[in-house]
Amino acid sequence: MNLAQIQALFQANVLAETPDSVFLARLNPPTRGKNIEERFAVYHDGFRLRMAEFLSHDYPVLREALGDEVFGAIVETYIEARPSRHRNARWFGAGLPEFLSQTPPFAGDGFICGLAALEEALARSFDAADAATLPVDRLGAAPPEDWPRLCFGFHPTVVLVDAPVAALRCYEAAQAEIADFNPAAFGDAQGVILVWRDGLEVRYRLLAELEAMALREAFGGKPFGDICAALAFSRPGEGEADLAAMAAQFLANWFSDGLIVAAAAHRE
Amino acid sequence: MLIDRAQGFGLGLRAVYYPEILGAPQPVDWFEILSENYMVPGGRPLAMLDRIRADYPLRMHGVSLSIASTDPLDFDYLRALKNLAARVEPELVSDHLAWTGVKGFNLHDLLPVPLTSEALDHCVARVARVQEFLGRRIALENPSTYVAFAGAELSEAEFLSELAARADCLLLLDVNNVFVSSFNHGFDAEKYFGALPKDRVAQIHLAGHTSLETHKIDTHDQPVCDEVWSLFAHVRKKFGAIPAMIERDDAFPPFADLLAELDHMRDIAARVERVEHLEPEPA
Repeated sequence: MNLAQIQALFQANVLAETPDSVFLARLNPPTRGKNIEERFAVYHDGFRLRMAEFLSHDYPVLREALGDEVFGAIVETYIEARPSRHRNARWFGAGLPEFLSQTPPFAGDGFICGLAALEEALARSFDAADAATLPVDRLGAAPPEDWPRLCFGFHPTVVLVDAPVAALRCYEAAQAEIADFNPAAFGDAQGVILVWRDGLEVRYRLLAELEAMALREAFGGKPFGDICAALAFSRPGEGEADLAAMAAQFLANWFSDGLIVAAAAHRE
Repeated sequence: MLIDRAQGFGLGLRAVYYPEILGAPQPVDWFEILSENYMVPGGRPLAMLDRIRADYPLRMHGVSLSIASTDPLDFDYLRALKNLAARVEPELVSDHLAWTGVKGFNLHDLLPVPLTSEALDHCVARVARVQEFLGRRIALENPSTYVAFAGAELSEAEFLSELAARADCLLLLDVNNVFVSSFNHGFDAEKYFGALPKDRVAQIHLAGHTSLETHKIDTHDQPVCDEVWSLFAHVRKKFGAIPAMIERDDAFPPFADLLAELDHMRDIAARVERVEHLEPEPA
């Protein structure tokens, strides 16, 4: 058996639920103790413990919400379905929200999927790329005739998370160490959570409906004029000037929050 | 000269100790980073790294090189490692004699290498390629192992010595790993040290481990034990003033406890040096 075959066999037995006795017989018998299974368990069981540790690190509130037993079962199925292909363990858990949203029994569970998505966004924002933000006075420097065509570049740490409000409140309760959190108290209300990094600190806030809509448009590369038009379309009864002023206020907030790294008038 | 023999005693840099390290000057000659912890796009990890680098020399230690794997070398990983080295300007870049997975998978563990001439040839070629790409020598650490493959053609120390000579690389001697593996496989730790080339050992690691009835596990969650301190004294006598450090990766004690362990390391090194100076030169 050559090196490649030995490694493939070793790995297969680490990944297998139970190591194969024929494989174990190929290893030297231990000098102390009687069974080689116990020695191989350092790799076999250690692998599962390590993967669980990575996921627990990235999803502490999800783990708390689910309880150790259920979280442990998720870890097992996730490892099997998506074994790590990352050199850096940091990215191993990044696919968990998508996995949960596609896999029973949590595929239809907005609360659990939303909580996972929020924690993944917080982790992603934590060490996303650095970028210089634009000061808000850059907005005032733009000629008024350019405003409708202004497009914005967002900081690499900005993430928009669609999740039930209950998921956000659960996260906040965990941060405040409030033990008896009841998600049912928040009903089915859906929200959009803005996650970003301000300097080195990861921040988040629940967006009001119109700001969420405006930010999603801006994030998608739409110019300021289109953002105002989208707001007007969603609120036909409201004055155009009021909605434009509201959009300008959103924009000023995004600048002062440090979300914007580029602003330029889009040329046709 | 292959080895910088400047006296030096370091600690593994871990995020839990950032406040102490940044809050006041610490009696630590250098820190060793886990390379992968800083192979991220930005944010706090890299900001802390830059701040600490401004005050201390750093060494880089990786866990994902997978030098013995039969998968192709991962040049995306190597590029990121090279970029980090350009940022850090480390005194040493090291990883392990191990593999972490094949067929594109990563088990995030340091898996044991069959000690055969085939594996040696494979590692020699890959170390040479990695060193050429990084533009520097690397050091490879002896891992803790829990199983051994039948049909070994060399001892681990012979394997490492051959590898260092043929690939022109350095060695990172983890004294705790030798102790753990010597218990697990029933070999003599001092003989192991005796088989290593003095001019290739560039750094020493010490750490704690977990003792079970039939085997020991390299857990880095306890203080260095007395037996490993004794082996450190032996190693210090054999290899001289090589930079040495303590790794701690779990059950983190107060930073002052690690500094006390580092002082103990300094005391042992000083005692060995005193005894060496008192001993007459061999005729």
